[in-house]
Amino acid sequence: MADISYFEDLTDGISDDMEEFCQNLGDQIERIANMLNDAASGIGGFIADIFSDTVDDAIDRWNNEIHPWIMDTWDEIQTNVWDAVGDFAGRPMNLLDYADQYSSVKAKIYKAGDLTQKMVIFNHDWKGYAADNYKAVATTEDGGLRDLSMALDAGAVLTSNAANKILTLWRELAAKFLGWTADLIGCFEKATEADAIVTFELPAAFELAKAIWQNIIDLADILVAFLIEQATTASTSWQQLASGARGLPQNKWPMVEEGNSDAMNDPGNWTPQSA
Amino acid sequence: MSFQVQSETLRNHAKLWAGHATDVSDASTAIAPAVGKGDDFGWLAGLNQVADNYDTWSQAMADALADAKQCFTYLEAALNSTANAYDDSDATAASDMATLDQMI
Repeated sequence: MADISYFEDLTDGISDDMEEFCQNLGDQIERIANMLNDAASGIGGFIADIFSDTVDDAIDRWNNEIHPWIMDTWDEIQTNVWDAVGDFAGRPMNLLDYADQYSSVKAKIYKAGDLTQKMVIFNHDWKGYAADNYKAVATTEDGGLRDLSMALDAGAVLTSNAANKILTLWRELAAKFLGWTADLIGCFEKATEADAIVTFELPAAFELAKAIWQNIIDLADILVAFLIEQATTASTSWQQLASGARGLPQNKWPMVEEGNSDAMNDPGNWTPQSA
Repeated sequence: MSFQVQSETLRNHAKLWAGHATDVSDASTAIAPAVGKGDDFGWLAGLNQVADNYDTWSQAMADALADAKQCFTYLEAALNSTANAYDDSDATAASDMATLDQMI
């Protein structure tokens, strides 16, 4: 299967594997039917079976029990597999793009020490009530940029973690799916003579069929556990970011207070320092 | 030290905030495609609040960047206005306080 980056890649790959599984199942059905026909007509070394009740019993069981079960189970596998795969829907490549955007923004909006250096010159040139108000506002706004950049960084990490988890599980599912269906095909491959059909154990085959979609559900459970951890228990969780408990307090930008603004904008409050 | 030299300090700080205003404006544009896209985490993420929390957080980040731009633009104008007042130049008239107040 080609590299899995998009949900369509996953579904296309599973669809191809299902087609191969269907083909292999059809081959087994045809082989078993031919084997029973040959046994009934004495062809291919089954002469001793011509008069055997075993062949009749095998044909009856095949026609009335096993073949209908295979058809029903095939329908069930298709339905359940697509239901289980559907739970994996998502757009991890988009999420990786978003994480890149948050990360690049984080680096651009805040440079530690930028304001501090400029304030050295400012403090040398200005003092007074307006200057004090400006310094308070500038320091608050600069802190806002620092907190916002931290929040964006945390969001970038969480976003890329989720995207990579989804991609990892998709790729695991795609890599293993054909192997799971091969196990089911394998149980029919053992039916090489009429005796094997008579004693063929449907419950065991059912368990193998069920295992196909159960394996997918198990992978989905891993994703659920990861998402729950992201949302609730991880120290840098979405819940904390969404509530503003981390990064920018309450996720609100610190607006310039009108009192500070009025003090700053009154030229009478600006006192140039003497040289 | 003359007022003219000192007003340059105010103008330099105005430039600092103008630069920040440009940066956060660029940042808003950069993250816009990501805002409110919690659905991209998939159905299971929706069941476990990750998608909702992401949407809440990403919208808050977009709002914060917009508010930041407003504050920085105001600071640029306020500092330039004061510098203009000191320069007492007709070409660089100071903005009145009411105009500046409307910016925040």
